[in-house]
Amino acid sequence: MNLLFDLRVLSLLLALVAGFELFPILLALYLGENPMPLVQAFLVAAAAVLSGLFFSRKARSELNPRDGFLIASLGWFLASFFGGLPYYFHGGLDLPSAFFETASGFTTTGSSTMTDIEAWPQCILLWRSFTQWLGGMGMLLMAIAILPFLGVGGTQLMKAEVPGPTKDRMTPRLVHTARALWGVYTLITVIGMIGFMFCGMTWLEAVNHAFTAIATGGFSVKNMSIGFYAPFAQWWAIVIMALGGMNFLVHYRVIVFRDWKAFTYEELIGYGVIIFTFTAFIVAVLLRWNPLWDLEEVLRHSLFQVVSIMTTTGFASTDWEQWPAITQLLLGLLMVIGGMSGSTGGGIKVVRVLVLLKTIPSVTARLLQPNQVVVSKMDHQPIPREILENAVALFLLAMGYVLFGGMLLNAMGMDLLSAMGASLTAWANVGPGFNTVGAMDNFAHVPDFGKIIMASMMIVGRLEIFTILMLFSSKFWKD
Amino acid sequence: MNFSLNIRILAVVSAILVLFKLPALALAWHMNEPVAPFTYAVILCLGVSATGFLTRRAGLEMQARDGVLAVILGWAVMIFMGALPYYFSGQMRWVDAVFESASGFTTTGSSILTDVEALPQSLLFWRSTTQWIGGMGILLLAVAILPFLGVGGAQIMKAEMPGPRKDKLAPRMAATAQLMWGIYVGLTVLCGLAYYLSGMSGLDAVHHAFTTIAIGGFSTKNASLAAYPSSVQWTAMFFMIVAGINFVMHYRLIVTRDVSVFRDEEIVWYLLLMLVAGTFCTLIAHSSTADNTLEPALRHGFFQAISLVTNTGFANVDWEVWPLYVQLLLMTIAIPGAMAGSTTGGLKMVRAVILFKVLGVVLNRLLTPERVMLVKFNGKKVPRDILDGVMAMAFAMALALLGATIFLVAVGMDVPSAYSAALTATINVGPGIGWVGPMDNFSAVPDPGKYLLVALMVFGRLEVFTVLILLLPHFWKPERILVSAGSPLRKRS
Repeated sequence: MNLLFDLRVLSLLLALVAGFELFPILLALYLGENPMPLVQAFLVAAAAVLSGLFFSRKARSELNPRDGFLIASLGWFLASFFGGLPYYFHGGLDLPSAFFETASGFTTTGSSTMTDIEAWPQCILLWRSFTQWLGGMGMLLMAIAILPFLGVGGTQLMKAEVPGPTKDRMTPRLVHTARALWGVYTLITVIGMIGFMFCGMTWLEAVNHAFTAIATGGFSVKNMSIGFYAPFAQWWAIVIMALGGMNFLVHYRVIVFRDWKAFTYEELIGYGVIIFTFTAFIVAVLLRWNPLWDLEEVLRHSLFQVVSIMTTTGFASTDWEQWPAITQLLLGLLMVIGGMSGSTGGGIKVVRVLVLLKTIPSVTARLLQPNQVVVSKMDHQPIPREILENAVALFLLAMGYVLFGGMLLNAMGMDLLSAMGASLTAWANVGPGFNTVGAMDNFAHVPDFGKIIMASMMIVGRLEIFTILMLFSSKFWKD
Repeated sequence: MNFSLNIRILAVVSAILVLFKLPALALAWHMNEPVAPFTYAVILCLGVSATGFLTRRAGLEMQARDGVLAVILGWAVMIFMGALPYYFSGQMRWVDAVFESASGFTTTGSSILTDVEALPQSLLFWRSTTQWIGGMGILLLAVAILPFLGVGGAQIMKAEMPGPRKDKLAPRMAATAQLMWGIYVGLTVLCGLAYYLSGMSGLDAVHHAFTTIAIGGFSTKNASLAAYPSSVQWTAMFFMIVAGINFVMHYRLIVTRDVSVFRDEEIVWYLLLMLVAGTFCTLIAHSSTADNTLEPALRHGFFQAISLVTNTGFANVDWEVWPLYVQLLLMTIAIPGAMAGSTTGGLKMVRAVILFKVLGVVLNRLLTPERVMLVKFNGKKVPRDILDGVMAMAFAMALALLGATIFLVAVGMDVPSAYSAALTATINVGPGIGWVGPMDNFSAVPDPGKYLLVALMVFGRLEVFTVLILLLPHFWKPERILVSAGSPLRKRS
């Protein structure tokens, strides 16, 4: 392991975070708000960066897989800590809450500890949305894109940060892949922003919501979330969230190469089928439950919630906590599934669900024909064993992790349903949970220790568990 | 498919059930309780058996699919025939009778009875008997006592016996089945004697010996084992552990005095899980005011841990008063279940261990992608098909669990109760949380929910695939098409 170089990469990562704090500072100056909290946070981060760079000035630039995992784990925790300082310096959030808020931002979770969002200054809220936008595509990936020398060990970093069982590279050189991903991401963000402005938002609101929708984050600048805006804005949000939950490889192939075959990916079809099925079911339930809504309203609210939860965004167009229990349970199931691999969403990812589902019939068939080897396929290719094992491992880990987290929160005094909801929503990076942490509630009342645990769960979930779990294996530390 | 042989097997199953109903009938007669429920049931069973005569010329050929079909149909017949005495007694509605019967034969131990003690002794005896029969499997019994079934015995054993390790004890299937049943009967007798000596009445000792060795969990008391002195409870703990051990190991230990069985990885994890869970539960029990001395805390803590790890479902304390997260933890440690080749439910410990090893392999592969990682068990490489089977089974069970939870919530249960009811049925434990806690019962579950739980119990008892296979389209197609199916890659091993 090359600890000195790891320190250097971490410092640069932090420099990136600090650099992005300049944008909200500019906004504060423009709007005439008090920029001091942000400036203070910037200075603290800058000091940390400089000292880090100073101590690591003699580092050799070389990375092996372990370094990648170490950098990703530490980097996300550090960024969450330093990114939370503006809230702390502004007053109103204590350190655990500030850490929670930023972790929730960078991991694109969207759970909030702010009780009255609209009371906060615009510059802080922009920073809050910014954290989600940065975290959505991945801070390390951005570092790879703009810092060429990181290309050396970039594969290791990408492996540790990009979600999904396979890490396809779109271009032979990693730097180009990272740039392409960030380019597509930025493009869709701009389109989203323009769309929101047409739907009646101010430019600032449009920027905030475009950031958090494409990142499938879910922070809003309104207490009522997207429900505050006209139906038109809600439909547009559905589109942007759905795009954020798709594999960016698909976007890239369609936008750059006009390659329409990208739409035949089995994972994409699965993604569409799941959204359609769950929406249809929820529409059927809601039509009977609330006769006051007309068809458009039922359809909009069902589809909005399904897309918002499945892509793990966490926006709400209405208070779905009031909905029948069965619909909430279905939404909970969607949290587990999550978006596509290579998207900005969380969960176990559609591709893994498909791989697991396909294994069942092939194993069952073997009972009848013990000598026959039935290979399950995806996109006309046999599914490699590594992928299957990866899917099973992540599924089991996630279930165990959510159960354990829920028990821990329950032991700290939350009721079981809220605790399980909080644990699930933190791991899957969704945002809202159930009961006391539901769609229109917030996490301010969670005990301090619980906040730290949830923030860690978000990071663990964002890095797909393995990355962090690795640090606890004895082999990791042996050379 | 050889349908006439299948019908013949069903006739045999029915006939065996008649034999097992006779003791309950005798007991009813002896205690001056109504004998009508049993006589009616026996007559109906005999009627079904008579169809066996129609198939005198059945071919003895048996394929894998026949084994599967025989087991599925056998279990359906068993559950319906077993429900008859409850139904004819007028004490239960049909759906409840089927639930109670399924819960018995699958050794789950969930009950819809609000007051167990109000039931006639003869009916209670039948209830315990169902668990005892179901524990080892009635079809295995058929293999053991009917030589003509030995032909396709391997198929039946594969479909009915739990666990990925199907060690044969003897070269011939019938001999293996006989040995298994022999050990089973021997353990039951020992357990009954031990209960009797530690202070149970003779009849209760028989009841509880049946349900302990079958890892079932039915009791004749409303308070389950809490109704008996502590000596009985310690005896129960010992025999639950014994019953959760692979019967092949019992054989090797008793007959060949082979102590190396204790070096088996599965048994080590099995004992370790109970030790850890027991210690934790002891601490929890100790912190509650009633048990703040050592002996009750140890007894209550370890009893619950053992009862849940082995999937028995007895209780000697109302653990619903424990914190909710502990209850959830108890439900979670029941998922692996006891060892394969025992009468337990759940995933089986060996599968859980293999899954954890897959986890390790996946992690290691991330660190050193170029190395080939193998999953090893007891020092030997786990074959691919077993590995795939284990992974698919875990996921299929999780899916069934999720689907069932959603269904139960839809019919009106609250989420924790629905989840725990679905879980307890799938892994054949017995008690759950909330509505269906250890001192509650399943009578409040809506009727459609009860039928679903019955299906889940059988699904879990037959280990998923035996049931899932019926959903495969080519299960129902003639042989030729199956082999020439073009799409899947075929390799002859």
